[in-house]
Amino acid sequence: MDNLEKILHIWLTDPDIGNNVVRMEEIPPRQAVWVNIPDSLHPGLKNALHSLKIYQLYSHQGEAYQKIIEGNHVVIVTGTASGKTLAYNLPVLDYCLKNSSTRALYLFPTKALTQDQQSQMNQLLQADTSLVQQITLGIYDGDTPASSRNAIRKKARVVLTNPDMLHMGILPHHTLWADFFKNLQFIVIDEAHVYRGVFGSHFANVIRRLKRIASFYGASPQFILTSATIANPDSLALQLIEERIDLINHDGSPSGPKKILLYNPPVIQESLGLRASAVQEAIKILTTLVNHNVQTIAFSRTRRTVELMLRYLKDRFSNAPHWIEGYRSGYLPDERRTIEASLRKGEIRCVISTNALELGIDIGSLSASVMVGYPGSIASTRQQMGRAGRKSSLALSILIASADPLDQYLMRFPEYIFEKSPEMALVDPNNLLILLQHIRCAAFELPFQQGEGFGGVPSEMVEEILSFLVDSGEIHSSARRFIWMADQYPASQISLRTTSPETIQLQQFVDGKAETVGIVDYSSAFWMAHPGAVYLHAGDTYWVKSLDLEKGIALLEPVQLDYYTEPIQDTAVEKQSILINQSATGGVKYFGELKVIRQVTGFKKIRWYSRENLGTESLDLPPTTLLTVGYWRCLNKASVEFLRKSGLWRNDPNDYGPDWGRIRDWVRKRDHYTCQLCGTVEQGKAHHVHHKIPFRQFSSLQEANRPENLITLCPACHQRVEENLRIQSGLAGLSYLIHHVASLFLMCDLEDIGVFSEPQCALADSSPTLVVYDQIPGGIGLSKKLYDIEEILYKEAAVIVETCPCQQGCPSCVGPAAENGAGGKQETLAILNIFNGLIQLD
Amino acid sequence: MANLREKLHSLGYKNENLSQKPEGNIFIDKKDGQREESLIQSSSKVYTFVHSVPLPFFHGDVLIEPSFSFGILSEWVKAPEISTLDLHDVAFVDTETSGLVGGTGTFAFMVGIGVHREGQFQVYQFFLPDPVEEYRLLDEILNFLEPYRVIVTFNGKSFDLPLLQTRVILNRMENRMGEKIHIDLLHLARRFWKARLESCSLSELEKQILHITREQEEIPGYLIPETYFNYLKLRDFSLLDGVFYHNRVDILSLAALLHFMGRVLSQPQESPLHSIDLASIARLYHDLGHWETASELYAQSISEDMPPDFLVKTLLKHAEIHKKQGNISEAIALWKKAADYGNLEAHLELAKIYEHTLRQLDAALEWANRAFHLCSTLPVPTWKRKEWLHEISHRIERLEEKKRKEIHGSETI
Repeated sequence: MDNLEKILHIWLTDPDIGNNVVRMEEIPPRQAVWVNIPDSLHPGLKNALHSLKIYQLYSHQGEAYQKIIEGNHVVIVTGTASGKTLAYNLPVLDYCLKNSSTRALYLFPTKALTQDQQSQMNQLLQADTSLVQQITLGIYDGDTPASSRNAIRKKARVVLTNPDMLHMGILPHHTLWADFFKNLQFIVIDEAHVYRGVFGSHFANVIRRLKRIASFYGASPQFILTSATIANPDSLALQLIEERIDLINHDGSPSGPKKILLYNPPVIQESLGLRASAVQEAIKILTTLVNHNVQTIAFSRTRRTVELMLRYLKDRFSNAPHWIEGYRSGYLPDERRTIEASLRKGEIRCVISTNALELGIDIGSLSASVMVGYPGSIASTRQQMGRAGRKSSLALSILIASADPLDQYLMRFPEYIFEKSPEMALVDPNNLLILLQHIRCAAFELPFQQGEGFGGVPSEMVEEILSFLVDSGEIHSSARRFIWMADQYPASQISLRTTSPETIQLQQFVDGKAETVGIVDYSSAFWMAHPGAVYLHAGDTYWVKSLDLEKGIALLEPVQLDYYTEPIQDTAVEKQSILINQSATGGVKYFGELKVIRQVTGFKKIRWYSRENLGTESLDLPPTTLLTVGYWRCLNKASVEFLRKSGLWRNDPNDYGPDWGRIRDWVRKRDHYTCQLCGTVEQGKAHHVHHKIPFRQFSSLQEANRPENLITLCPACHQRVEENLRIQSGLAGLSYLIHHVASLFLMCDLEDIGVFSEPQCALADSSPTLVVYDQIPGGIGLSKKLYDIEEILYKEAAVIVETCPCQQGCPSCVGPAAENGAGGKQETLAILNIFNGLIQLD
Repeated sequence: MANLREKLHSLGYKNENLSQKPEGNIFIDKKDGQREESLIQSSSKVYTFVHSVPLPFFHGDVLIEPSFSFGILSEWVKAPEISTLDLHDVAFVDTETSGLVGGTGTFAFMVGIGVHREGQFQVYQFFLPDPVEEYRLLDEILNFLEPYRVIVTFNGKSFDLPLLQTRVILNRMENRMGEKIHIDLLHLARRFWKARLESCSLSELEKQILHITREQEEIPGYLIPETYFNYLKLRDFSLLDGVFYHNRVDILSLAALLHFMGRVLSQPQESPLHSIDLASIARLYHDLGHWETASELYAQSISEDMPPDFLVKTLLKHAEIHKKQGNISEAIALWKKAADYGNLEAHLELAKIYEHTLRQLDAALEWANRAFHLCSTLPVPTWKRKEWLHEISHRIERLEEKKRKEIHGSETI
């Protein structure tokens, strides 16, 4: 019995742990399916494989080699660590070795992955000295020094880059790459499942431009894609490259047996229904794993939690802190490379990471993966679980639930995780605004001929867009040609990703010399590196002395503090202008310009371990604003009246009775004006008084307001407790539902749109309102489409709710009902019935 | 999709300059009489204008003559064969383009080429009345340039030539310019004036060096793309007057600059130059390996008029030549002068030469100690100072050790 089996045995028999395991799933081992190394493979490569002790290939690698050599476009969808990289490197390098002018382009979604894949390729090439001389690799991205760029363009047989560089740095200067494009035979798109939503829609258009330029030089390259498990890898691939593509999904790699545990932290405060924190439970579990030398990866949902867990766990192993490392965006590239290498060598026993390690960076095969909180999608969950897995012996994945309603729902209905298929990755390359932007870029790169299409876009449509650009003066047309005619560089104005590329350097002075500790993206700097913040990095604590947004520098001082900080953030949506509005069934629909304002207004100091609030400080930071467009839909008075009468309206404020003011003050005094959960004393602002059993569940005022049912809580704790008891309203259910349904309709990612609802919304004269907005500056037409198709949207939404087999609501329809609360299914359906005109309103 | 424009608008797509429709293909030219004289060819595809000036003539302060000697320029462009050529082999090239940023979407709509022919300086201006005819424009200029072995440009290395090259590829043509010798006067001008002038742009050089004032007609470079776009919309040829003028003066200034710099390089000692410029030219000779000339020029240039930093730099460069030639005492004198200005490098050079070459340990120690004190007062980052101090104290220790051994050694004898 190996260590892991022993640990599992102990855990399951220990009631403190075993009782919290709500489900254990066993996945049987899978045998490897081997095939011979193809005879036709170049002898140098054969030799290289032999010196790496590879004498046979997995069946999917053999299949990929065969299909690629035959000239097919392929997409390879096999598990984590199944050797996908070798599956495409073999045929590409084989072809390059046999044809001395052949070139290949590799696209990776991140710079980190590019580095990792380059070193993996180098490893293969260096295994046979003759190969290194024949095949030169080159990374061409923003970090490539200007002095080596020319040599890479001229000499590198395989160029590794990212879509952003292709879009801004390569295609607009393709004449410098003339020789490269003439000989371009292969385009590898790694981790293709990342290209979904707005990013994916941009990416698909970059590929259209790439194919157009390649064909100008007479090349028609072959595409090789890899993807993690998603519901639709082949249809996504088809949309991205617009070519018939073969799916390779028979995984020939072996895997040992695997156990998956769903773990729900125990209830520690019966009267408030509070559960132990997922972080603390995770520390307990990780401590055991580290003690028994089971190499583990822990995934947490935020950068902050990574650092908190790192600190707690390092404290437990103060004699061997190097066993434990953190990993997240913001760590310096070198720091990351070191951690990856130590993981592969087995020097690190536990790495605590954000989803930054979800992508295919090679860190070897680990024995256990621990997810602290549900990652948000089935696809991510599978990816993170897949990080644990060994060829023959047992591997373990544990999902530790947080107090979120979604997590708690999964604990009640674990089959959701095991039986539901992963999400679809959706793209809409023909989104008019995105398409228009890329046609501008394409016209800059090469004049359009009349009758020329653009990828799958028919020539008539292209011509219509071009004529629009002619009218706007950016394009000149005559004699059947459309020529770019503006003193600007269109690609530089278009970012493929929604996040801003600007970063803030976190620096400290060592001997008068500025040294960069880490980096943070511009928008996160406000809450991670505001003045007074405690910045946690790789287990070290720093105090942020100042934040200079213009210079992009935050100054840090290394300190030892007994607290960390938590930012307080406000989000508000303001109406800029209504562009169109129209009365609709049961209310009014609007489309207009919105301003989404986020501001970090202050921060709390939280003591380590006890989580006691040591005080709050306010900040004077500028707000970040997103100017965008949105669609909003309100319910009129008659609708609300109907819902109220039917007992399906949950948004009216509670009336706690005429004596409430007095009772509240009495309870606060009884509790010494101190939060009964975290111990914070009131400062200026009165704490809240909370009903342990929800007010709505009582029929009498006196019963509900009995002193035993009341307790003083600070606002933060109050919110935490309410999460558990929340009674889902129809409006909240609707906003959850529409967020999911809309992204399906719009073929975008959940993050591409923002959705919220308000019972009294300023956007629509204080009526209850649902708001959906584009998460992209200026918008890209997502919410406008909803405005246009709202009838279909609400009809489909109603079908989804009605046909959902759940009772109270679930993540597949109106959102999970809170653990101790009630779902909002009937309430949501009632609103949809109004919108769909099924209810006769007065 | 009939209302695509409305749709784009409702989606929030903004475009400022919607839309000035071209009013048909009307050819308006308010000054046609004068232009016709110079219009030598109008195939309606590409217009070619020529403007001739009999040689010699003054452009600003510079006399443009029929003869020229490349002299040391052949070494600077690393093309010795140039010395057998004369001005009849030279074409001065300047383009006017649809954009000031690079990338494949920017094209040249006008190419000016200046040549010496039949005792005249002739400026040919090839103009593209419609971008669709770019192929013909490129073809004509490639043919025109065929016999010329040398191309002279201003910033052509990174702008004009790559741009033409890109457009040649886009039009699927064969590039016939690759073999030529290219003199980029911007690079040479930087060697001459970077130390003294704030900018080495052509307009700055015209003001400061050539003393040229452009006439009212002149249109600033950044307005040129827009002017061309307006012409395409309105087809009013007179809009382009300023562009033609701008391009023509650019070509003349290129010729004037080449003459000016060539003359200075052939007789630097005799040219009435600012001391800073003279030192810069000395530096150019120095880098090309002409130590004797460089040394003379350095000596001639050194003057108290120079800013102290530049003076010290010049002293050090001059000392470097003396050191390499073995003129130790001259080198020492120069280093001492630089040391007077508080230069650390000079201190260290002195410490080294006294230690290793002259073997005067006391003097070496003296300079090392002075360097140590100087270093503590210099305004440099702490980490850098630490590094230097570490290095210097190491040297001092070694010198003291050597001294001890010397004394000890002499005692035993």
